[in-house]
Amino acid sequence: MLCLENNEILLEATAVEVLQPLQNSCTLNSESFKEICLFSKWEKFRQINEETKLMLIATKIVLDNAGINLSKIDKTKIGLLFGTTFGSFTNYENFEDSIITGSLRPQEFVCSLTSFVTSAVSVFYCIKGPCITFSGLNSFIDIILYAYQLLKTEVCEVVIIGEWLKFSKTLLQYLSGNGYSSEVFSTIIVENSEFLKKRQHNFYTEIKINKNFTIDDPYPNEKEIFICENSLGITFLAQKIKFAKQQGIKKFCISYITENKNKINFLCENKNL
Amino acid sequence: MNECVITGVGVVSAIGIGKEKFWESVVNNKSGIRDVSLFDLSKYNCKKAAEVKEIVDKNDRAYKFLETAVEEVISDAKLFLSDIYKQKVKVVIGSAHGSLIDWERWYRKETEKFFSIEDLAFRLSKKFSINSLPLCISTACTSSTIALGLGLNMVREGLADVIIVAGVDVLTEFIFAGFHSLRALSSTFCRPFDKNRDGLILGEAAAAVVLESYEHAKKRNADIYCKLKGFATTSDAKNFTAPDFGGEGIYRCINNALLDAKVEPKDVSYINAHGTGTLYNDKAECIAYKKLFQQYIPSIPISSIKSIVGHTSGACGIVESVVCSLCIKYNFVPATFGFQSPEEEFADFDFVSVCGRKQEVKFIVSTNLAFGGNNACVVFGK
Repeated sequence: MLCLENNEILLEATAVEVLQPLQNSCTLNSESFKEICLFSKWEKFRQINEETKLMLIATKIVLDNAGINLSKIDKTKIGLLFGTTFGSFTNYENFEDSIITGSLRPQEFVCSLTSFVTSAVSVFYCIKGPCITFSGLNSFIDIILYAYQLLKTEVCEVVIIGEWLKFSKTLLQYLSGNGYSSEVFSTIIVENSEFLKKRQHNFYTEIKINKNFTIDDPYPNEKEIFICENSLGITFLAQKIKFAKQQGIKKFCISYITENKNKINFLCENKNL
Repeated sequence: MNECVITGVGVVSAIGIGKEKFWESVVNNKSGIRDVSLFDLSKYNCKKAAEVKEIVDKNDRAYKFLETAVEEVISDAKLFLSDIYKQKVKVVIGSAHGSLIDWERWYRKETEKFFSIEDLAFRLSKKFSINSLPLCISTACTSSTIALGLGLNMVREGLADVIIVAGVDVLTEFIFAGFHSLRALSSTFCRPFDKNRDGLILGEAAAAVVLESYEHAKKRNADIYCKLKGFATTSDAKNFTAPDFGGEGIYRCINNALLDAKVEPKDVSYINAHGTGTLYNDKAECIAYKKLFQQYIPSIPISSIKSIVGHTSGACGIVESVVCSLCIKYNFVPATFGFQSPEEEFADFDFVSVCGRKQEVKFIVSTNLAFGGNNACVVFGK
């Protein structure tokens, strides 16, 4: 990770994982992943919800792919930045039902918190750095930039960025007509270059963010992918990175343009806000 | 790296809507905790909360709170609405539950619409002609503290001219029942750090601050409340609900925030504590303060305003940031309502009780903790 010049930053992603359902399905089941057995003996396993199980799996796979052994890292130097649309609405629904029936289920309340998944992943992996949950699917650029700041200021050596979307009765109603066709759990690891050198690991892709890119900039060259649309979720970026890797492209150029009046107006009108 | 300043505040709370009324209540240690009228509490032991009585409507309550706080902050910071669209202004929102009250009513078939936290932010952006896409944080009770920290980083990096950081959470039966089921609510009254404390009292609020670089504020002749000097957030990685009883994560968090602010522990004039009034939270916080401030602890006043404004969930950090901004502006340290005597092991702490103090305030440490072992700390300076 280098600060190239005032308006441009470069950071290195070392692994990407996207868990998506197989064709003909729109939901994921943690039991269908062999990694689930790693978590089932955890004393808190019975207290966690399905989205936490799937995010634990996505995190395990991305850590393995990055060649990171957590037992050899200072866990106060690892950050978790996860995003989600709405949180765990199945738990909201279950707890609300328990209010109506009069037999309260406290664990449903705890799991309903939007930040529960991030917290539970931090507890399982003993990650003690910044653990932040972003609400919404329109802000991957801000999440990437914050990860960059955590690495640059040496608050973190490794940042795990992620996003999850798990269907529930509420979410299906909320998302109807918004084009979300399946559940998804994605993770990306970005690292401090010094740390990467120290552990002698190669990066997976480079992410370059420039304040001055505009939509009219030419496609840089066949070795780079240029993304002007930065107002989507982490999954969008993770999918693009995976696709690019398959094409042999190693560099991503992303514009830091957060002004998007059209999108604000579109969303407000589309959702009748 | 830009220096970050606070140039506007706005607040909606049970102790007042608007900074004047709010501050008057803080100075006079006047509690906003009363019987709840928003929903039926006959099933619960605790019947009280810090409810905003001036806004009676449940419908779209969270947005109404937010809009009122942001309207005030824009006016207080002298940001002219006609100019906002020309500048790089960004909204950063922190909320644990957002518009949950609407969702709860939708789920009970009492209304047809509910909103995500991000929807609230988009509506604010549209209403105030803000062109940048908003950013929303939801880390339970540290939500708006972390929103403030991210806003600080954006100002430092020059990613926006002005950041409006806001937080909101409103009372719902869902939240009340949740804390009741965890046995976290007080059956008497909220008295943070008191040896006989028995739990928290919930509240509802929205608040907002305007952040900008010192240069930008000077250029437009804005009045500066204080500097936002440092921020850190850490995780305990221990429990889903309880804090780390040894206070290790809180200690690292405050230490990192002070390092970020380049402020020595001995120079801190006031600790604005999370202080919920629960047994374990207050104890873990005190253990961390003792470890960090060591011999200076008897000379640093500590208080929590949650016993007058209630625990406002994800909004508490930004509400307390308004308090800290005003403490620095008016050189005042507020008291903890209801506090009588400390636990023996913290007898050397300077807990401010009964009434606040007029004294010079140079640097403030403000701490918030959340479920899942999430800790956040901000440092304010004159």
